Amino acid sequence: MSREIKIIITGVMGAGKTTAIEAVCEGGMVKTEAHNSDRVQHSKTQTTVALDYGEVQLEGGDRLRLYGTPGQGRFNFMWQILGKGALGVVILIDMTRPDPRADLRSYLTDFSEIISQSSGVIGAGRCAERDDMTTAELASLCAEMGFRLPVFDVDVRRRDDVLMLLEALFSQIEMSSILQTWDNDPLEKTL
Amino acid sequence: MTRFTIATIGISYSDRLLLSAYLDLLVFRNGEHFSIVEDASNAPIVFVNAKTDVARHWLKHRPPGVQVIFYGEKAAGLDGENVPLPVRLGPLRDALFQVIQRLKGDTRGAASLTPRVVLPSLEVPAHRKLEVWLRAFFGAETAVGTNLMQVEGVKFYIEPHSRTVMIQSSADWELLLQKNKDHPTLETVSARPAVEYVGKLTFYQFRWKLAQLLSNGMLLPALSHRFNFQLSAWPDLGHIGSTSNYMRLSALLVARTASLTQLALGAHIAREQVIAFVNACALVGVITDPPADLLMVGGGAAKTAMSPEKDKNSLSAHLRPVSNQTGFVGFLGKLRAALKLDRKQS
Repeated sequence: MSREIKIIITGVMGAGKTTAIEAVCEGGMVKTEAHNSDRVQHSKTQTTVALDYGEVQLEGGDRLRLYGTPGQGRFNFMWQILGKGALGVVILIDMTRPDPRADLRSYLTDFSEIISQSSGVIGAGRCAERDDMTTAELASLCAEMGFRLPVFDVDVRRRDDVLMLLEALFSQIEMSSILQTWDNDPLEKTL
Repeated sequence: MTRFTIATIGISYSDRLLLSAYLDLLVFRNGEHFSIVEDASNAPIVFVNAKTDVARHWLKHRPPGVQVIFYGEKAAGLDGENVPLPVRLGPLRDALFQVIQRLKGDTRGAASLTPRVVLPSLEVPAHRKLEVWLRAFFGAETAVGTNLMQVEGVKFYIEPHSRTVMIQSSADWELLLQKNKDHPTLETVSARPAVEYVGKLTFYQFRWKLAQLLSNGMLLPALSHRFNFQLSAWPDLGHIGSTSNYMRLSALLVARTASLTQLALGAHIAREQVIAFVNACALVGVITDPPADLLMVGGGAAKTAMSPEKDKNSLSAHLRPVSNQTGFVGFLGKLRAALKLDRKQS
């Protein structure tokens, strides 16, 4: 039986969700872009209106499935639908926005169920353009909200940076299996 | 030669290391010198961070005759010296001088107290190498101006104002650090010469690097093989260079406490690498301070210190539905291979 991991990539409009999926899936991707009618949020001309989807095929029919949420607020109703069955959430933060902390707080709240039941990672983009806020502050905000999540300074145009975000998710998922072994085996606790 | 023991209360592990480094550099003219001890009950001098609950409690029941030096802010209405943060050699020397005077009834003037800063070129045993380099680096890290730390012609300019280390030399400095048996020498310089540099590291990166290169399978002195460790936050892996091993160890240690053996077996990583990781995390300030009653391996409290069943932030608790899927780790292995994620293992 083939297996799959579903990962959600979310963030504000222009944070790089589509770019991140493209970086990993290298062409194996479906985009649902349309004319951007919300130039107040971001000046780009095209934006995702339904979802982005990309997948990585593995041996034996197994798959990594990446879903990018639409960035515009009016599509928020889709987040919970997309989030069903997801094993991890990548939250992309645009550090040049007026209040990246508020953005992060909003996404942590919206995806808290998935993050608390599975895994999460924060990718902060355009950090170099912001000198009054650091990734450490975003990590502190996560901690305040009860999540000890990794926060990385990333450029999602670079495949290695996107892979680093995914690796952080995979590590959390993998270690959860190890921890379960420990919890079930009293000998492990005394090592 | 009189040795004064100093205890610390409410001061983090990394700050204790820094204090220890400074105290190693301080030897007063009559031979008075200092060392940090774990047990506060017999120490004549105690450094106290009055902002912490443990320190406030201790201050309320402070034993008579014990000399207090406040670390950072002084507590209102209480006697004691004060060392402002960040710690510098001068104020530390002055505070200790006042304290020694009171302890000994000594009336010498401050001028007679000349701190000696000595880093002799002596062969360093491999297991002490990290300590030796850290002492030199901590001394330079909090200095007022630029310091030059060098060994075998490789120069490290420590620049506190920008919190960077500039490395001048085309030599393979990482290899040199591992092989060299000498202490680094340290001197204050007026300015860094305008020449090319092969490397520029932040203090965070340099501390991490020193731990990775020089741990030699030995934990830092204030840590113990008997501890269960835990991380208060993920280290900044994007900044220091992420690897699969760092990721796995971070994910595990953020979720719950673990011993070195559990980490090595659980994450399938050599014990030496686990030790280097734990040392590095301690040096960048993300290891939680080990409260002895909770974190000692084999102690009754250790098993419940961060019980996954009780801790709502526990990854184990969060991910139970996920990890119940059979063969999940094998699937991740396939995925890692497909994405070429296992290219970086060190």
